[in-house]
Amino acid sequence: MSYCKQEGKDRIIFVTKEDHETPSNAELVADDPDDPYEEQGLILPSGEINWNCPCLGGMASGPCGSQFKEAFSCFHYSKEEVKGSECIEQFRGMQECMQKYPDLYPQEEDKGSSSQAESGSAAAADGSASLSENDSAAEASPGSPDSVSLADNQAAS
Amino acid sequence: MLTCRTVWRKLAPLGRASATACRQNVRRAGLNNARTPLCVPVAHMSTGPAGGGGDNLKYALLVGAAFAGGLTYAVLTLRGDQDRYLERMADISSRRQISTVKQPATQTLTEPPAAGAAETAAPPEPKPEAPPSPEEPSPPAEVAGAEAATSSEAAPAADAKPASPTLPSHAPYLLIGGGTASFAAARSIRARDPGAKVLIVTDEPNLPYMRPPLSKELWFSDDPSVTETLRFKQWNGKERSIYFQPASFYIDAEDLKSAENGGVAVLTNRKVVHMDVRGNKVKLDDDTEISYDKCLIATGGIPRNLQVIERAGEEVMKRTTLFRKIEDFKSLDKVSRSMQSITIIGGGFLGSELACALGRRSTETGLEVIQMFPEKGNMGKVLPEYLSNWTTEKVKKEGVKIISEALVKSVSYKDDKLEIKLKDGRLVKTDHIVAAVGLEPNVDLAKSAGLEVDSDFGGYRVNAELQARSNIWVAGDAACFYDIRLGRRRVEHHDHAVVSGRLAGENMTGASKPYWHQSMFWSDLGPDVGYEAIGIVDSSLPTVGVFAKATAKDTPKAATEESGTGIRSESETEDTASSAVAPAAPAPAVENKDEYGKGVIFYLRDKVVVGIILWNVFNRMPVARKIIKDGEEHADLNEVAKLFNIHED
Repeated sequence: MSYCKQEGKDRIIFVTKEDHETPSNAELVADDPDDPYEEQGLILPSGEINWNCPCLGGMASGPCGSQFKEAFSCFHYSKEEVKGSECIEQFRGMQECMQKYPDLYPQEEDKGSSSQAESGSAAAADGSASLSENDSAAEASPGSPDSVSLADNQAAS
Repeated sequence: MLTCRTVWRKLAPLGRASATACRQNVRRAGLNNARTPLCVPVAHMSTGPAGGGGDNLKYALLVGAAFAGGLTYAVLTLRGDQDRYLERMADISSRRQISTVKQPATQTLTEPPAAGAAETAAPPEPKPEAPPSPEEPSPPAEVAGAEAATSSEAAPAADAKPASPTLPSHAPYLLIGGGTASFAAARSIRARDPGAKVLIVTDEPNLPYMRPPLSKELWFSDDPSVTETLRFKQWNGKERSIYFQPASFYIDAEDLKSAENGGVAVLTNRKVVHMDVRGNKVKLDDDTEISYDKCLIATGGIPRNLQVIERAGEEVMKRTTLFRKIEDFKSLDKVSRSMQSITIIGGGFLGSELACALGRRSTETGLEVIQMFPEKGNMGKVLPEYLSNWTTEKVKKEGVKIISEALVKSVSYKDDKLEIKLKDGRLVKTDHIVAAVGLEPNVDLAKSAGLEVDSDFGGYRVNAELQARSNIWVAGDAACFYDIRLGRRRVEHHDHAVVSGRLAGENMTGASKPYWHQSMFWSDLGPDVGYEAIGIVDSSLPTVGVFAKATAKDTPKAATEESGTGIRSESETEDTASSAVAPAAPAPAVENKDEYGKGVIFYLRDKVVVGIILWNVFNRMPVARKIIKDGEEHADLNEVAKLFNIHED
């Protein structure tokens, strides 16, 4: 049984679980997925990679940013049967760069770079940035979780 | 200014009088030359003075002498300069000679001297093969000179480098201020502009770091060396530093120009004192000038102080902390271990968080923690009264002595104690004061740069795209910006610094996006009370709160454990689908007799929801953001509250 009280200008409503079981009739405005103002997910409406996605953490902006971008772009646009199989060189370059900065990219990196490729494939397959997967890979590098900005993953939601 | 005018008025008639006297004297044509003072103007006039005679001659002599003297001085100075220049050039070249003469000398000891070969080989070679392996035998002095000159070009001129590091004279992207907004912008710029060269100038000695842990997590650390490491354990068990990135992320300022892939360089302990917008350059406090293409001002602010404290004298000021930076955290930590009583003045976010943190510590050390503020309860300006009262009770449970409706009248230092006298007569004796009474945005550069300062909210006035002038953006605490949905405002929260910094970085690299993604904020008052909020959350607005009873699972600790993240707003970016998280330890059953366990509070302005607080309800911020973005009038807010599923985890 819900009840209500008023304290001056403030109204207080107490609700039980049952009260909230019926679906809401509040109307929300439909979202435009291509709204340029909105924060974009990993893949932009044009199909390009959004390097500024918070989900990438600092990967695209750090000292190895350009290598990361090359490797990931190659992977993203790869049309091979085994996606990214022609990108070995770029991934190796990225790995070499990351080894030079062990405190930015800690050295469980052999797992890190390959799992990133896997997560990248999952993301591409879903056609959206599955943030959790990206982040479980990105968590190997402590650079990423420091980004405390928000991204409503429009693509995923 | 006025004194000048009065002085001028007084002197003007004198001037006029002497001028007429001069004219009269000149016309008297040589009668009383000795008597008349020479009152000729010093400036050279294109036409000579009227009249003639002895005065004219004296005038001519004086001018001539001055001219000759000036000319002589100029010639001497220039010649001296040239001498000095030649001397310096000789000095530099001789230095090069010395270093490279040593090289061939050591290496050619073993080689058979072949003077003839040397003479023929050395001169035609513009450059030897490689400086470390010259084949020439020990050459005569002149050849050594030639070789030295050429090999010195090849060798890194380590000795020719000046003693002080060369600061870059130009930065394509210059970020003034080294805080959260600045770092977010740097990251955004680097992501969007490949190879971007970003220079951050900060007057702090630290690399960019995040502020929220300074008043929360760092205090709950078990590590005794936390003031040095500045690492904190997040609720999910993962440890991290407050620094956004370790030092290896950044490049040296000197290398910025030549860095192939660009990078982010940080100049610490340097303050920008002057900004020349027309010339697109800034001047630092050591007189270095740096020009820029795009500039971001993210200077944040300085903590406000109470006037009564500022007027109270040095002994009181010495025992007062204005909390904002790492050094403030370190000193307050030390104080909390050595003093017996600390009083926090201020009942807002910072004051309440510090009170809870110190209150927690008081259980171990017996420290007395007092918090006083003018409002009726904690967060009185943010939470509606019933919730503010409820929160105050929680803060008291953390071991804090609350003195509400307290206006400080005066502070004095007596008998080794600080005495705070309140307007209603109450007297509080304490050892140390922490003043958490607001932030004064830093707009020092407004004058020299000619930037507008907002009179309502303070800070630099910028448009919806965070732009102040053509190549200048402002982000973070110092930006008073136009929010398309909520109107002009200035926000002093961490997430806003991140969001606005990112946006500024995007706009600096060519995007033209307005502030649209609404930032959020959060606060924890102990492990049982936590809330996330978004939009305008002002207790003077009418509110509608929808509550359910809380269970043990509805605490901030449980929320972060479940989502596997450390900082609250991070859980927004990481889907909570990931279950690879430490299983939440079964929390002890929390008895919640209180009515306001968990719920949603809507803040209304003209019947439109402009702010929402999620009270002990987590990971629902996207829904809240959507409601504010829509800006619709909802007839029944209970229906809107259903969208949040407050009864579920």
